[in-house]
Amino acid sequence: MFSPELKKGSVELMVLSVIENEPRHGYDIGKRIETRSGGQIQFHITSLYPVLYRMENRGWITGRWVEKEGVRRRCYYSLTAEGKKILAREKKKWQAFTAAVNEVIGASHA
Amino acid sequence: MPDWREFVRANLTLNDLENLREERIAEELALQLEDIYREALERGLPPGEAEEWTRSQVPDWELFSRLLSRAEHSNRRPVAEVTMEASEEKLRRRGQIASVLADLLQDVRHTFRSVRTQPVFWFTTILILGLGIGATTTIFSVVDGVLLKQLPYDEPERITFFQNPAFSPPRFVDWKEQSGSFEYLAGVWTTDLSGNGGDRPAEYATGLMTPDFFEIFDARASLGRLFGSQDYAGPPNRAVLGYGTWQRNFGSDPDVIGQTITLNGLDREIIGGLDPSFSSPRGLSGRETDVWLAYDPHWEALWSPGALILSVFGRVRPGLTIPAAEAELNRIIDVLAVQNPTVHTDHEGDPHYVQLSGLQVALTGDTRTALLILLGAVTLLLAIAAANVANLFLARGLDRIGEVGVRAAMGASRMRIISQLLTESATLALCGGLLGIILAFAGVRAFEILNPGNIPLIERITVDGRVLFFALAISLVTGLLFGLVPALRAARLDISGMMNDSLRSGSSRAKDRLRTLLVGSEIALTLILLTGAGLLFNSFLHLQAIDPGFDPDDLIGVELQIRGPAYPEQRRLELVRNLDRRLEALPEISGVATGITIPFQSWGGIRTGWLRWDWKTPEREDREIWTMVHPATGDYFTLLGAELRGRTFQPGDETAYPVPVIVSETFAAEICPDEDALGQTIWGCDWRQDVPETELRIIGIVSGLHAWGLDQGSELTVFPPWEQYGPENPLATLLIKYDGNPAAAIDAIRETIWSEDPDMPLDNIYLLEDQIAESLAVPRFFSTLFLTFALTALLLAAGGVYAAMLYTVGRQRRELSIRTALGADRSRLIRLVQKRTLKITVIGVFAGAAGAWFLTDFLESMVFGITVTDPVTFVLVALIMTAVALTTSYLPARKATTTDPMEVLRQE
Repeated sequence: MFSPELKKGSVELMVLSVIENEPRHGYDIGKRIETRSGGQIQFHITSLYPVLYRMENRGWITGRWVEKEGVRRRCYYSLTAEGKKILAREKKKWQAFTAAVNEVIGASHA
Repeated sequence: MPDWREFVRANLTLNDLENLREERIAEELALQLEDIYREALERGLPPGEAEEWTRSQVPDWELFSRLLSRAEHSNRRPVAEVTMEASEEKLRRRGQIASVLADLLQDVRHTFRSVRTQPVFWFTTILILGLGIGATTTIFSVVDGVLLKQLPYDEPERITFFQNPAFSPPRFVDWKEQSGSFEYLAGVWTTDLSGNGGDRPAEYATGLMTPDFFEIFDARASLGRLFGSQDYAGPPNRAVLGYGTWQRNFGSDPDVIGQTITLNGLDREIIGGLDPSFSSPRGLSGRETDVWLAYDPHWEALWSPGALILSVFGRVRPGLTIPAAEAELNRIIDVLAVQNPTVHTDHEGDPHYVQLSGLQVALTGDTRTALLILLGAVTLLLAIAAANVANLFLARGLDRIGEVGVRAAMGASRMRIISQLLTESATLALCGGLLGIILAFAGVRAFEILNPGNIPLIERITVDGRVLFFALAISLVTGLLFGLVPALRAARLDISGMMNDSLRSGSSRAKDRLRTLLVGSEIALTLILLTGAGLLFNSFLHLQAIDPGFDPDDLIGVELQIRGPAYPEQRRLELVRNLDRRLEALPEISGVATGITIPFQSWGGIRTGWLRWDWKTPEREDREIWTMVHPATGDYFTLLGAELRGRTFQPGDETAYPVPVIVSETFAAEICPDEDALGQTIWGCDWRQDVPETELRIIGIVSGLHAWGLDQGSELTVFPPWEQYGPENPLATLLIKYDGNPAAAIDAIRETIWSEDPDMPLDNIYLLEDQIAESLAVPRFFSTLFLTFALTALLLAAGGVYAAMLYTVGRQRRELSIRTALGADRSRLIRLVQKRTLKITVIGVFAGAAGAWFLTDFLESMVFGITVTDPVTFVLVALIMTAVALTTSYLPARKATTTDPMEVLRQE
């Protein structure tokens, strides 16, 4: 299990990457992160929405209400231009970081 | 299906958001809950359980609402931060040099972010630093104004002052003629003369100056001219007015040149007025001289080796040092002592050498030590503040080390990380410095208001560029000091160690040692300050408790100027007799006595009286006893309520021979060491011209009279009857006991005296109680100031101990709470936790006591009645420090043992 600290730092990155290719609504975003992490990271409603609203306020993502036929009315989140830039940058950093962390933790646990 | 919209609206409280936004959030949450509910049903849960499951998704709506609120508000980044980030990006694209700037900008931005996220930490730190820097800057500005800033003269380092006592004109003239070390050498006799300025008789502080005095101090005339060599012939009857006098007493009249000013009944011609920019050394340290008279040191009226009147100043030749000039002059004095022993030897026949000091040192005198000690004290305070802040830095270390580790892992270079940490501490220190400067402005103002009245050069104290530079410098130095430790740790960048630290709050021995060291030093430094303050305060209490040997209640002193041709001896006698009779008849007055001086009186800083040293014992043996002779009337001792054995003067004594005298018990013990002096006959030598021996009968012995100050012993004094010896002196002081309101009494006294002599200046009328209180002002001032610093230090140290305990206990919380849950005795656990504090405290206290033992030597001159190693003070202070440390550590310890263990475990 990741430590709370690591999760805190990486939540934004996960959300950004989940909606990178298509807009998704909140419930969907939470589910997908859970699936992608193989169930290791669980996003409850109480932790997901503060993150979403924070990112929206920072102008990284934007929420839009969509009504489709046969599907219920939903707020879909998509990346803004700023969000795309951040995602690209953070991805690079994150890769370097996980590599370093793995190396360190792996080495010290070996 | 449950109405989830209704459910959300009933529970969500987002009062501070716009309606629309709140609507949207509620809607979205309701939809999400609906999804969860549906999913639960799909999984086959019965509706009741599915509803419960959905409701359990938000266990605490209040907390959730708060989190949402915060997400909506606090994370909107300030425009400044966004702008800075954008500029950084631009700079980075411009190449290497610009990129350094970008780094700096980034560091500042990170610092701002840290302020936003940890406001309490920043607030506390800036407050502590501000206090330390403020106190230090205040005292520095005082030290700078009084001790460091150049005196307002050209090349002031070349000006020298001949250390006390005052010198006779023949001595001065010989020096001036023979010494080659001085560009200028001049003497001045400053004395109060009664004059005719304006509508009321006034006292003029008059400086009788020998040639070259104005040259030493680059004086210029703004009116008329200064003295030329022609003005120095004969008696001093040419005057130059001080600028203030010209304004005050002559209404800034430009036609004053050629007019006369009457001083002590003699007319003096006004030939010039000084420029307002001129300050004499006396003016710098207190009251400026009002009128200057040209005085020829050869003037026969004052040409006597016994006329100890001149204060001597010199300007040494360029290239010469003051010690060199002193050495040269003392070689000359060696020769002069042989040629003219009456003038140039002391009473033991040795050459009468001189001691020269720089003018500034001479002006500041005792204050110098006191101020330097204060500066030392505030520096300690600053060090304690810095240690405290370093401790705070460590206390939030977990966070930071995690952050630093992550940044390092992401590829930030060591330099970048160190520079970020240093930027942060420098920003902190500068904010602290800014607060400190604000406090210093207030502090300097407070210092001026509380000034006990005798700090020389105090009007030069300001918070100016020099002081600001000082504040900036100490801010940066302290900033570097407490920022360096975390920075250096980061420089070692033991990433895995740090990550481990941060990931599973394990122990880090190095940091523990550092923390212990910091808290220990805080305790030690505080103890030093407390000890110093304790000594001064203790000494002040001693001083205050001293019995002056008389009862100052309801006593008024009135100084009478009975000089000049208007007052031949007979007239002096008549005046005092008349006043005695008329004042005693007033309803406000219950008793009147006269002496040439009374206790706690100082005539412009110099106590009057005549000094005699040759005596003959009852066995007619010669005895040298340096003694003050103070003529006084019989009621003098009665009014003072002094302890008198024998009798006081009575009618008939004013003409009696052998002269009846009352002596101090200290004189009695010297003149008659083996028997009771009362009733004995002794002889005083040279009491009058052509009277080698005067026969004296001791009729009374007065004990414990502290006439010169509480810290001065009972002086060797002989009191002859005023009627016999008083009128020879141009000064007399009335001692008056009043009934009821002192102000009414003083008014009545003034009126009575002016009806006798309308020209009598009455500038010095005072209550004896006030004089005593005033004599305590300086020790009170310094001990209060010191005590303030020490208590601030104690507060900071207590804060340091508290923070350290909070941290230690926080780490042991799990263990402590489990042990409590398992039934361990709570008070034993608290003691266990406190043991550590006790250990640090004891070590700190011992180290501090050792430091204090050495440092208190500097207090020697300021401490009275106790030694600087006073054991009572040392022990008391150590106990206080220990008690404070234990009390502050008790709170976190108790809290830890009363926490619910389940709570702790859940948080872990």
